[in-house]
Amino acid sequence: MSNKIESLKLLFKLSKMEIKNNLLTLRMMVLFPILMLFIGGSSWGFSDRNAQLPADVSANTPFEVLFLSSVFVLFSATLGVVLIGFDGISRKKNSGLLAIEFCQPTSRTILGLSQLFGVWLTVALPTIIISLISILLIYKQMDAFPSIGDLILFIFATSLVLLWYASIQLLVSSVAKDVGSAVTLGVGAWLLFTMIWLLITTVLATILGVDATNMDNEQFASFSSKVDMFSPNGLYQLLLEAKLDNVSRKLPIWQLSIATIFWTFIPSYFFIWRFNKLHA
Amino acid sequence: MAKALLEFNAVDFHHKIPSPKIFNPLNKIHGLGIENISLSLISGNIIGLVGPNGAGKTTLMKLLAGLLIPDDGEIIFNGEKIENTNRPNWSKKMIGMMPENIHWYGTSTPFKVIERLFTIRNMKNNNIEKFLDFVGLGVKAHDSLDSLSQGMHQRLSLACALIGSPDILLLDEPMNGLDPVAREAFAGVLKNLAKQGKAILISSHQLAELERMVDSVILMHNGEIIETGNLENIRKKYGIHNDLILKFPKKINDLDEILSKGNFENLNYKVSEIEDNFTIKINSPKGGWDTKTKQEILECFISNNMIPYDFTSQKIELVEILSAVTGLDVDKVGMSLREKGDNNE
Repeated sequence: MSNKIESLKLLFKLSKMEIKNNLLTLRMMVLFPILMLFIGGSSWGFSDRNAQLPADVSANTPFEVLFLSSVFVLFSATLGVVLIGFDGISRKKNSGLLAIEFCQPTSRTILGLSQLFGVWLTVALPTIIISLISILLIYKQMDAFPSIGDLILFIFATSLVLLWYASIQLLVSSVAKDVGSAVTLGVGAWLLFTMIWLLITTVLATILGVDATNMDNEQFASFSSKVDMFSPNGLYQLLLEAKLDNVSRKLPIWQLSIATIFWTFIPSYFFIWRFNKLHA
Repeated sequence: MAKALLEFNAVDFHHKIPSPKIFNPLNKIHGLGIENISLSLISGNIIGLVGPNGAGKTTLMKLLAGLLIPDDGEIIFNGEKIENTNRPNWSKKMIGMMPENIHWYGTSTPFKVIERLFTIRNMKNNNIEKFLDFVGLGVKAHDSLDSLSQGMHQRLSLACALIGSPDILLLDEPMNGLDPVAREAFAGVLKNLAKQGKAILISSHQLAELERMVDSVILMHNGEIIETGNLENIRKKYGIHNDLILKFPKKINDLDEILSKGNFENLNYKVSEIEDNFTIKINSPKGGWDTKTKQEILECFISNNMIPYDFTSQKIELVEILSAVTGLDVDKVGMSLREKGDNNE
């Protein structure tokens, strides 16, 4: 028991060290204003009742504003995880530092988890802080706060999507042999879920005989919600949609829960497994 | 009494190399590695691990450090047999490794690097500066890694290996990038550590730089240990002796005549002339030089008014010893590369 407590303490210390080191990097200096502009700016803009939003997009409640802002979270914060984590393992491996760390009498699982928490929380903490600031911006514009439940769901889902990306990034970083392949794999994984996923969904729908010419039809909405469970971005949106009214593609809670548990544990497990097998 | 801290008995290891096939994209084959390695690291001993590039020195170091897991063979640590799976933490506590060519860069500092490793080892961080002082980096503790010289980077790598005062030190090419002064200092540090009872294995492809500091050497070639023991004994065993080098400020025209006066038996020599330097290299006789013969050769020249400005023994290079031990030609021994294996995993 005391060994487990010691291990947890060590994990906490190492993660804190990782976060501190990551927060002081040039990458973070670049990322912070981007997060501020994307998340804060979008919340401010969507909550402006006089703003003319494209198409039939409308945000009438604070949570709907947060839901619309979540698209900007997907574009900025997940990219931030890519920025911080794409070479998290490969850089240490190529510099020889990983060999020194692997020689130390500490379990690789703890070292790997500290890397994972380091990358995740480096982006998640500023994102949460900026999201809380956004709540104040929304209040300024709409004179209303989201409910505590809505706020917890938003922060919980946002933190989770960043954890999923951190696991994916570190997993691909552990496979990368050099900086070039680390960038390619890291950005490639981000592009797959952020840009290409809709194309994949449409192609699959066409192959399986689902009408993909009209994305508003119920059959396609139901199909896309199932495919989205296989994408971190899609699942993030589905989690937030669970709290929205007038959404046609709601999934049962048990399906969302299974997908959430899968994305939280399976990529992290594979990363730690890979980290344990890694040749430094 | 000196005891064996770590023993390898008939250890084999082969790197797994990706070799994708159409129906098996994750296929791997056995690549190069090391075979049938048996050695003991004894407390208080400094052992030189010598071999040309690709001999398997780094692979052996990583196996000893527990970074790689052997395919086969037996590991005995402090008298206790260890299974070939993950090395237990108690054994890692006793091993410090300095890997080859660590690229220290960035805005971090030696202090932060050591602080992180102290934390990983769950050690208290209150004597990091003193610790860095030991390797001569105390004054640079808070400078950025980018601002440190190559020699200082090497010292930092050594400091990493010394954390936790391990009983076994594995140093992979530690002399790379060190100037002669730093090498002397480095050798002094290692000798002190050996006196404290540590077993030190130090790899290099340059025999000369190890010669003065090691108690014995392990010669590796093509993934195998081809000879072990005291360097002098290896030389004697294979009849490898230093050639004599004499340097003169001007050319000697009647060299044969001068040497014939000395009644030396079967004296083979070569001459070379570069600008004002006239060099004579006299090959060693089969049993090596005795002091008297060397003295007579020198007297022979001096009595003929030919005063050498330099009179030395030529250092024997690794390639010459490898050539003698393997029986390969000197020109071929350095260039002989192993073919990679093709056994499916």
